[in-house]
Amino acid sequence: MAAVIIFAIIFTAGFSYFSFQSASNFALDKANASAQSTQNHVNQESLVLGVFQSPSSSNLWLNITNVGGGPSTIVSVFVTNSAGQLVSSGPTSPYLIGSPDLNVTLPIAIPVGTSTHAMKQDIAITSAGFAYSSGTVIVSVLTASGNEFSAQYPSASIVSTTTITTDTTVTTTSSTATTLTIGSSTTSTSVSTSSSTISSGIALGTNALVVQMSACPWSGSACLSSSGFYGGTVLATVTVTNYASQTINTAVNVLPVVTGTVPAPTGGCSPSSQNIAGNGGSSTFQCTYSVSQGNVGGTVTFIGYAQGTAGGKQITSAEATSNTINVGNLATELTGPLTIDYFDFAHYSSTYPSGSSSPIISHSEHFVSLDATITNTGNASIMILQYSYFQFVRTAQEEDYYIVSGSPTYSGSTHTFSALQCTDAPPSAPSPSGCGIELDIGETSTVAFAASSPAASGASSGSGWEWGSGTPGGGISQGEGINGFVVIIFAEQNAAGNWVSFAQTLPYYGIYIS
Amino acid sequence: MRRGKSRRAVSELMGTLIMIGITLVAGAAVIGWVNGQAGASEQVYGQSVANNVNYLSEHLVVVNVQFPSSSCSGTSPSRYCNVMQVSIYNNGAVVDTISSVAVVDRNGVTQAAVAQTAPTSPGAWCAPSPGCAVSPVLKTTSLSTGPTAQPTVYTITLPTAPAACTGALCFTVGNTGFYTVQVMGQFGYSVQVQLTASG
Repeated sequence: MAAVIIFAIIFTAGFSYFSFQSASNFALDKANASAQSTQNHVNQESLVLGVFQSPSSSNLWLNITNVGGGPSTIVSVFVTNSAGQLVSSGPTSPYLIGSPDLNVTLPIAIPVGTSTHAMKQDIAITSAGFAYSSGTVIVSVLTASGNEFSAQYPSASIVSTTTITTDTTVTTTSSTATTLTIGSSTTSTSVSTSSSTISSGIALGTNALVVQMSACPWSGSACLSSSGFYGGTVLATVTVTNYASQTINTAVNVLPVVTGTVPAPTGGCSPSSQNIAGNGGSSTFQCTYSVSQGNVGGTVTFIGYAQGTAGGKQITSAEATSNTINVGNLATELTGPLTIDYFDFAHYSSTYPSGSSSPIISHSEHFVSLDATITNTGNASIMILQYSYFQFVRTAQEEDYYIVSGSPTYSGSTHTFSALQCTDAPPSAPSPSGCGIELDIGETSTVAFAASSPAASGASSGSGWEWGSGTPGGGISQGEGINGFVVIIFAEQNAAGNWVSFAQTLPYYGIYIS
Repeated sequence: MRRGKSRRAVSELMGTLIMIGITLVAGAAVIGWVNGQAGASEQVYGQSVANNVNYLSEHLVVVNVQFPSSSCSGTSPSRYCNVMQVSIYNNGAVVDTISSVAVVDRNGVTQAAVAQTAPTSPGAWCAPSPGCAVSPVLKTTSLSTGPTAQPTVYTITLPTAPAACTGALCFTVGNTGFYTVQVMGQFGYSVQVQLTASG
């Protein structure tokens, strides 16, 4: 009975621990997915602004058309002069959000392919917010995604207008904007320019087809959770919307992009092509791919576009990118200039590092070291700082390994390196001189992370390396389960002569060699 | 026939009770150790995850940087400005505060660091002397998020021009790209924008 009770208690404690780990991992995955989704939305957002002045007042009118890959939300409007100074004036700030400065109350959402004119919500800036009198001003809108779109008033382009009332061929060599007003005929008029075809009064250009993509693990009849996906069928759903005035026979081209050890997926889209009605009609293509994890795992993302022919002209949509699906239990890579080509770690009995007094303090003669080869794929030199660390999650506990040097040396089973030190105090380390590991553009360097008190040393927990008063590194024994990896690099990037701090999370793709 | 010597022993019941007692004591010790280890690990891992989640959720945009004409003096090409207004919009997923604003020159030298908690005591947080003030207060001003959020305008008062322009902080009108403003959120997200003084 006692054994049963004790087993139940231990089981409960263990179950609680793993439940906590699982919940934490889920929260991290969710935050990763949300960050990537937000970034995708930011990248796909595109608005075209037209600014006009009311003939009877000093009000400026704003016509906004959403030509991006997703809906946009306008959160504020502001006006700057040619010197970049804010000249609009609201009750509490220069950013206008509603009455009495505007005729509408922001925020307003603009669906894909829709204009505020079509929504009967063109935005008027009243004299309370800004009264235009003369000169050049820049009218800007801020979206909820943080993008800023602007238009100049008066427009710098020269607009020429030709009114056509009979079947006419018009040729223009002007590089400035041209407006063509088609007469009453809507069936026989065809006007061609070098870049677009206008038929039945509606322009067909590169924005006539708009593509949206999403991807999910696929059971054959329904989407599955992306969490814990280790391979199988992935469905990429491609939705194509046709904003031309006529039906377009459309096909889609989809390219899977993989990272890590995920092999190139195989599959295709169905149907191969289909007619999509004009004036906002939409259809979906279902693209199924077989995805496997490979040795370790990675991610898969789909990039695609639509193509069709109308009026003898080929129309190609802008590229769209799906959400990213993790394959295997890997940390998601964040955008940044650093990549890890390979990573290995070894279990060494080692010597004291030199200069270990600060910021890393060693209490043991033994420690574990982990080596990574990191490449700077950015367009500026980078200084990796002392606070960078490698963290892995195993079944027993999470561990942190702090960066120690860029050039470890090996002799037999002994691994020797120097502690990486900077004189700057965290969290702001603006001056990289005299500390860190510098990577020039395209340069690859091996860096080492270390934690002392491996299991072999018999040292007690908590007596390992310490970064300041932070978490001590622990040990690792061969055969212990490893659930995840993450390498977090704190660095400074030399952007046009300025060293700018940033942090990047890198995935772990490697082999445990012991 | 010889009978063996009689020996005293605990009864089977007592033996069982003693064994159960030993098991319970040993089990309690194991439970205490496991709970302690699991709790410590959960705390560290939870903090790490929270930091990562917060970092991933943080995103800031510098919407506008301007130098009000009223803050500028002198005539071109020696017209200088000493008030800078930075509009910052929070388009992340968390309510945020600004932990620091810094102005660095093209040589990477920080010319004005603004990371104060009270704008009335500039000496400890702004360099170089005589320091600079900012309003509203950085670390205690929350930047809301969501579709109804609006940019917050921070007014940073730099050393008075043109007297201070014999030093490094010379925001000369028309001097493009000489300075960069770096804004860092409380969770480590940073954004930068190059300055063009015009006023």
